[in-house]
Amino acid sequence: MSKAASLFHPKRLNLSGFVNTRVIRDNNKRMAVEQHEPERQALRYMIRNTSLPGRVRAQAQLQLSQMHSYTRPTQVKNRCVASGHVRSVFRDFRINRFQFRMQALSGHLPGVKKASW
Amino acid sequence: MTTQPHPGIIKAPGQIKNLVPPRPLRPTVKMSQTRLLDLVKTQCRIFSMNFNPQRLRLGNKVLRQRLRGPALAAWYPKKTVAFQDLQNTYKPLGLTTFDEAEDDREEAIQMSVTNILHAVWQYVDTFLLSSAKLRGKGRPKKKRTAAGKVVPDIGFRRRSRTPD
Repeated sequence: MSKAASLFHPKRLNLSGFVNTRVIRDNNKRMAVEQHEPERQALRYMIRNTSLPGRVRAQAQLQLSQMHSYTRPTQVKNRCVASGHVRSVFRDFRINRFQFRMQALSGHLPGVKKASW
Repeated sequence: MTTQPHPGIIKAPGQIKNLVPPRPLRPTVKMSQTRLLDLVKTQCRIFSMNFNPQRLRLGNKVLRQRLRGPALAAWYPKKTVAFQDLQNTYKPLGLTTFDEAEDDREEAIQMSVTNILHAVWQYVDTFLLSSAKLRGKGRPKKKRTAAGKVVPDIGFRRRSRTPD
């Protein structure tokens, strides 16, 4: 049975800029990943350490697999900060290609200039 | 039959070879296995690495990984100080500011109150006049023939056939 994602809802929304449900959900996942990362890494270390007894390693495997999916770093998706889109998001600017074009043309991105030759 | 070299090619391998300096010989020092292990051990201690000469799988690569959480959590811009916070801060001191949103809200309430009053007034008006007929909003009067009889109103199709 899957555990409720509402465990990771924040009491108060701490986001500014473009916000929609999917952005909030992704942000919740990011917070959960940050919070549970040491725990996950400890379990991963135990699983990979062959000097530990097999029972301990098996228990660690079980515990890791039973953690909530929101604590998994692969759940995180880079979304556009200005529009919430997921596709073709520039990692350096955190916005997608269309927002990048609009903002660059209007001069909101310092150092970005339209190439012409 | 000997092949003649092309006049464009200059063949002087000997000269080029002489320009390259001779490679220095590596000193070969025989070191015992225990000394080598000691060296590696010291190296590991200095650079805080895991000394593992048997190459066992100890999972230390997991511990060596950097935590990605803080970088992932910092993707979306966080909420900074808003005008509302400023207002809330100075409210206990009795200092108020012009709040456009609040002003708009009050205006909307005022508007809605006016609208309700208007609706009530209309209702009262209708009630006092008692019927729509009095206000000239009733049904049109029925058509009368030359004989002074009222044509029975039984539908659009039948009425169109009757002679005038």
